[in-house]
Amino acid sequence: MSDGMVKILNGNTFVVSDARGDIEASPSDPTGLFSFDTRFLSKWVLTINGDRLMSLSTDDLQYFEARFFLVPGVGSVYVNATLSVIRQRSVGNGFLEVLSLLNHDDVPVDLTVRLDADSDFADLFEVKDTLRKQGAYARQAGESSLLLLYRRGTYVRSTAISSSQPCAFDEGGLTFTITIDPHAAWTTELDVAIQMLGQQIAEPGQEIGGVARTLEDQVKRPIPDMARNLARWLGEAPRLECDWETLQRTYRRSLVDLAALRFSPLTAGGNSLPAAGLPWFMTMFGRDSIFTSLQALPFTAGLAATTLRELGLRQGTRIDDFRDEDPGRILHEMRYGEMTAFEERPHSPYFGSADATPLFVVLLDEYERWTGDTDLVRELEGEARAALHWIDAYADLQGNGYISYQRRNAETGLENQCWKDSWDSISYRDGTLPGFPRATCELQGYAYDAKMRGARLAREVWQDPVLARRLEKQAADLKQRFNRDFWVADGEYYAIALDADGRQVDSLTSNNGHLLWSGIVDDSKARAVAEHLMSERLFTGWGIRTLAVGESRYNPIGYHNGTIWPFDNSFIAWGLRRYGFKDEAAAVAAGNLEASAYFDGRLPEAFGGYPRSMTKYPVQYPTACSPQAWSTGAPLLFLRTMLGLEPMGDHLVVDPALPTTIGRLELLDIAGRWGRIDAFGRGRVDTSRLSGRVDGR
Amino acid sequence: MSTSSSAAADDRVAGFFDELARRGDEPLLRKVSGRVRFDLADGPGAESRLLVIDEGKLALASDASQADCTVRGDLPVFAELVAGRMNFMAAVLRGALACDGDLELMWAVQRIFPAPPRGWDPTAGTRSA
Repeated sequence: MSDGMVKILNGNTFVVSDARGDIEASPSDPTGLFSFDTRFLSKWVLTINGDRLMSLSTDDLQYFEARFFLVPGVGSVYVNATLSVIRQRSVGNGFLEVLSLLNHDDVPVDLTVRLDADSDFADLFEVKDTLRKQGAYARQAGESSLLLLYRRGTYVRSTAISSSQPCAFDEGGLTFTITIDPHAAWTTELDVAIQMLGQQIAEPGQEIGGVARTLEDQVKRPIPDMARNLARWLGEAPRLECDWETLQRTYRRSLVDLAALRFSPLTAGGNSLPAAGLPWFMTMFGRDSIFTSLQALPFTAGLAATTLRELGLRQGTRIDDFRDEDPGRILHEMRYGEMTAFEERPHSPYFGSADATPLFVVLLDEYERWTGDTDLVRELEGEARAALHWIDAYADLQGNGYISYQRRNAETGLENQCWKDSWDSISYRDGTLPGFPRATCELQGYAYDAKMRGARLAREVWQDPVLARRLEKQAADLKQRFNRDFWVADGEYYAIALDADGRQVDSLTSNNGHLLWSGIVDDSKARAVAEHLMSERLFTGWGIRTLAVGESRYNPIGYHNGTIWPFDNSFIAWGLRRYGFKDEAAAVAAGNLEASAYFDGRLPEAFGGYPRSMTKYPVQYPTACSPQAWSTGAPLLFLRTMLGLEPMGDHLVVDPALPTTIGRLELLDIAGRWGRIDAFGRGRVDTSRLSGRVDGR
Repeated sequence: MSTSSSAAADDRVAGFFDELARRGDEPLLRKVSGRVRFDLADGPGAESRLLVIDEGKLALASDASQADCTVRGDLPVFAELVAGRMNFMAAVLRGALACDGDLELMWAVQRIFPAPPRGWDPTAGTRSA
């Protein structure tokens, strides 16, 4: 999406257009007006006297509005430079576009202004997979509007286009025939409104004047409110003072992008949780929403509360093979489009994730440690117990005491139900792929952490010491077995997985860092793991690769087989810190943050695993999704890690270990159960000497 | 829809709500309180069942009075739901069920419908080879 496309969004409604503001979608092209996973406008092309326009510049005013400055004519020759055209577009219920034409000439000008409009009402899945529609289209041109409509049985979606200035509507768009006086301007407001379900839904706490709002009203969020909302969001986050400009800029970019990625399910009473990424993933994802909430906890704890509540409300309650649902399982992905509605896809919601369920418990505990909000821990006691029960009762597919996964929906379910979810992400050293079920190592770490944290909640909040003891005993037993069964003795690291025969899938991967984060690593093995992570096989200088150099499938631009994922690195750094490797954590943070300078402060999903000494700059991995929530959250977690922020009872411990890239750093007004606290640090860690060795604790 | 199959659907749905009334207590709704009305449409008419939930305790009435959340659909749709052959949320997205009111209550109450048969694949009949 770095190809000159302009994206603006509001919740899960977003518009992707070219630099002129035009939308000309092909079946497989991701431009258009999208909402609830459906494309409501696939064509929106402006012409003046039959000619397309040319872009002079584009302003991304806010994440929810953009302005396009245009002139008539295409190519390098201006047909008529005495006319300026400005399109200002903001996303609300669909979008609102203010179209202005300015005549700079000394004579009046007669113009035919035309907007071609159409919609294919494609499901996002269809856009990705180019599938055929089964329903029927209708176009109704009236006196005051053009209605585009799609119907398949009871499923109806529509787009209504209207204008504040008189125009002629036909089935293919709208036409203005106008005269503009010398040095005068002409303006119209074009309203593109979407309709999703003809259902009245009251959102608790969101009534306007005591009247329940319709779904349409809820989708419509007034723009001034959004600007105020963003200002408040930025104002409530801790303030960063720092003499390293890159970090300042990346911090601000992260906060703004995180605001843009907020998504309010209609059940959330106006509260929001992080969606996974723009444009394909503006929806609730178990794994992504939880990881991002964890990263953002010291900066905005409200996201975690909403994530926990909303995932809890949708927790699995039955065994449903099509949806890979089990009782207690936390969802993987929720979708609202046509294919989900007709059960051609299992996303209503789909549960095929093996990590979201233990991570749900991890987030609940970490949230309480920061906020002291025991009410939420009590409110979600049943959900947390069910999640812990899922680990033992449903996730242990092989009866060997480990979480493993194998999809039950073989057609449209997910093969790899861990974060490295591409088809070839789990391999032996020789490159062969294991069969199923697969027990990847980080899942065991998350299970261990969930049990330990669940035990704390059981003892301190739920007043259930029996459960606490049982969980601790299970965790201790798991840790012991894990350190025996997953430890690759001749390499001194943990295998990425056990295969269906219990054999080690023995390649060296970044997953080792997640194990440090979870605490499942034996103290006696931690140094060897840290040395691997910081070795030249994994650490490039920018960050830690997903798969080590020397493994058969290693490729510096392999999606999960050699690229660097900032999200992955942020949890690895936290893990290094947990085991006392402060300087190493600082080096990983410094490398990633230095890379962010090359991406305008917006860390991508992944970037190339080339050695820093070779490329001098980080090579972006071609990806369709930016910003992505857990990349956006990574700089926040790096900040936490470098400052050594750790809740301890009602206090916040600050124990900085900052790279020398930073002279002085202040993070002010960090909110938590202690009220608000400031953290200060000076850069003392010389990270340049750390590649390839470990100084340690 | 022939009269006899409509009657069969009617029986299945009636059986489900009768069982729900006998269940008395539903652990999956232990945190939930509220009134949910199911409007079972059969041609032009509709029969209503009011489910009153009080922290997991269930009570049912054949009653068309005011509710916090209303779920309306054709009788055959409910017949599929109570057999586990149709997914509640998919039916809402499809417009086969129309919901008014408190959405959070709707998400909670859909848990009362049974799991599908093991191995149930809703795409099996329609998937192209």
